[in-house]
Amino acid sequence: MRILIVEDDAALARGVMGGLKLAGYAVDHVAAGEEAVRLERAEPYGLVVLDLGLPDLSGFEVLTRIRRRGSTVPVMILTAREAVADRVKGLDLGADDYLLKPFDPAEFEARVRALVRRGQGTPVPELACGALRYDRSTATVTLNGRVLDLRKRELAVLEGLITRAGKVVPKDRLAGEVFGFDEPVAPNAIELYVARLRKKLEPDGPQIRTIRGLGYLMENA
Amino acid sequence: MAGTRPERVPSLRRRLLTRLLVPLGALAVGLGAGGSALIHGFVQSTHDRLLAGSTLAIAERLAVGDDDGEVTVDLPAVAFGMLESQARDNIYYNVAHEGGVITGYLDLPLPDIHAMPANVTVFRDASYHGHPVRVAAQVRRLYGVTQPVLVQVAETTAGRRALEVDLLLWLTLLEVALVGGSGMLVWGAVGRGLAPLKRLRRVIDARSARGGMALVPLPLAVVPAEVLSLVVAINGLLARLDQSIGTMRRFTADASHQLRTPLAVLRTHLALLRRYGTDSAEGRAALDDVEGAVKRLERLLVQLLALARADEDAPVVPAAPEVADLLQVAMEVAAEQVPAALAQDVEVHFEGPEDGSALRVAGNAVLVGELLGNLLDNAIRYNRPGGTVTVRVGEGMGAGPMMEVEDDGPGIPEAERGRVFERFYRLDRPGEPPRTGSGLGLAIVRALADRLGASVRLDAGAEGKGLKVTVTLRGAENAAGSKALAAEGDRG
Repeated sequence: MRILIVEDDAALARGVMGGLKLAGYAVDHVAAGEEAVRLERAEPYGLVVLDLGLPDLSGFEVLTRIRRRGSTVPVMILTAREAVADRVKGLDLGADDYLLKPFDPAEFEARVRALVRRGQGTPVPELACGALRYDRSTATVTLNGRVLDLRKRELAVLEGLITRAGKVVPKDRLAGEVFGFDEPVAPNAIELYVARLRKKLEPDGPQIRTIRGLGYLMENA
Repeated sequence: MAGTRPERVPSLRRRLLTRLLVPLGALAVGLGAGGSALIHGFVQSTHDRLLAGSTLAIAERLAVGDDDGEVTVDLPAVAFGMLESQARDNIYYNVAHEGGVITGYLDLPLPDIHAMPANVTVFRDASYHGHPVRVAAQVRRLYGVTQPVLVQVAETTAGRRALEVDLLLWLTLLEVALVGGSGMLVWGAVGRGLAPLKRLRRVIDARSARGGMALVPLPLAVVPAEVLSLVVAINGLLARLDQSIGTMRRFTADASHQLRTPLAVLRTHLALLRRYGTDSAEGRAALDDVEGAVKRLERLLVQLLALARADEDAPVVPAAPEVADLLQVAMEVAAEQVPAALAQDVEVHFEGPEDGSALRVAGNAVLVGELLGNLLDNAIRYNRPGGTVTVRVGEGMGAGPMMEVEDDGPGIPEAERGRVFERFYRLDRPGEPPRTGSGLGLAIVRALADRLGASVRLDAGAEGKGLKVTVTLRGAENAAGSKALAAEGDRG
């Protein structure tokens, strides 16, 4: 799952990104509004965390532009502006959540998970596919009750596939969700992670099928 | 109205009553004195006329015997009848001729007949048997006798006194009624006259009851002309109060806004530290950010305090005029800032007056130093690596001693120069990393300049690059003369 952080305070952005990366998300950071709008259009983000006080465009303007294009990406406003009028405006412009600085990192991450779930149309915290269970609040994967030891990327691939189980997930979209911008990605990296994931799901997990020319599909059990 | 009125200021009612009743009472006393003299004269003349009448009646009956030349008098009843109304008074009379009393009271004293004109009634006050009496006397020259005849009628004065006292009593009563009545009228009139003020008070009470600070101007329609200027002044005060509360609210909101981000930085990085510990690269990076956030908070705190100090309601010109040596202050402050500048790879240059003479400016040396310190800090903080900051002090162009801080950093676009003095206003320069300044530096400079009566000017630096801030201070010599000027100028 990939998240865009729009925040002009570099130190805060580093802190937020650190927490989200630890939780297994791929995170991109921009400090200006124009760039945020451009990136959001180009990349398949599962969530945008938006500061309101940006140097060029205001956060409200960024939000307006994102929504005007018809994007349904979940947006969390993360700001120091506490006025009720600002909260109302932000939510009315299409934000899904409004969190005031300073915030508890644990609460922030819980809200991120909730928004991501909503964005995928699956608000249940636990996803299942056959004998495979994925608890998104604790990021634990079990297969027939046995806890699987998945690396961060493998978990991201699994999440991208299990939320759309039974459907084809295009390869570049999956890659877009798994990797952030600042991460060096080998051309066949996604294949590598899919292969590792397959191995770990054997023998009783769901099959991940390669649909040549289209992408991957996790079979419904 | 109840309770806590300071005792030294008497109520309006009391003032008006005092102002009115004291002179009115004095007037009444004066009128009473004049009145009593008038009454005395009036009573005297009325009674004297009666006394004169009775004297005349006796004198008319004087006769000289044809044969013996004896003077006789046939006392008429009417002579004393007209005096009878004053029942309490005793009447005495006598008629004298040739030094002897012909008839009447022998011991009623006789005046010097020869000093008296004939046929004219002369009055005098005398004493008879220990009682004061009024005596009317007339001298007659009768045909047939050589010596003049004297007729005297005396009357005790009890009746006159009684009448005078009676009249005086009535006069006094009337005056007391007048003064008392005026007092009551004033009492009532003050109450009625102050009714508009009571209405005004109810308006204010109603507002307070609604809660909150309703600093809306008071209605002028209910106010009488005499207190209009007062209410207008109060409205002016309310407006200023409203404005300053608004400023304060904005300031508090801005300050809390400024505090929130570094606090959020602290929380997120502390959470990271908890997971990574301080031994890993990630942990050390988080520690750096924690330290940076703490530094930001510290600086913000220092600046907020500096601003609060600069904002203090101290008089623009202190009671005892203070004098600071601008050159010395500037050299000290500049030297203090050099290490911070070098840490940012910025050079500080200092240019003083060529002859090295002291620059006496009016104002507190600490304030002057703090002003320059903030300017320098700004110039260093917002400069680029390898930049230069020049501090210049000297006699300005006639207006007073000046100090100048010039840098060759990014400068401030002309359109923004008015706004940078606003609190928490920060210049964002697209394409550059965001600054860590609090946006308070120039606001502090402005507040300090206001207190020093100095003016601040922003220009581009040399060759149009960077920023040049010129502060014109008030010289110590002409400080007294330019007090008013400094107080009202430079505020805009």
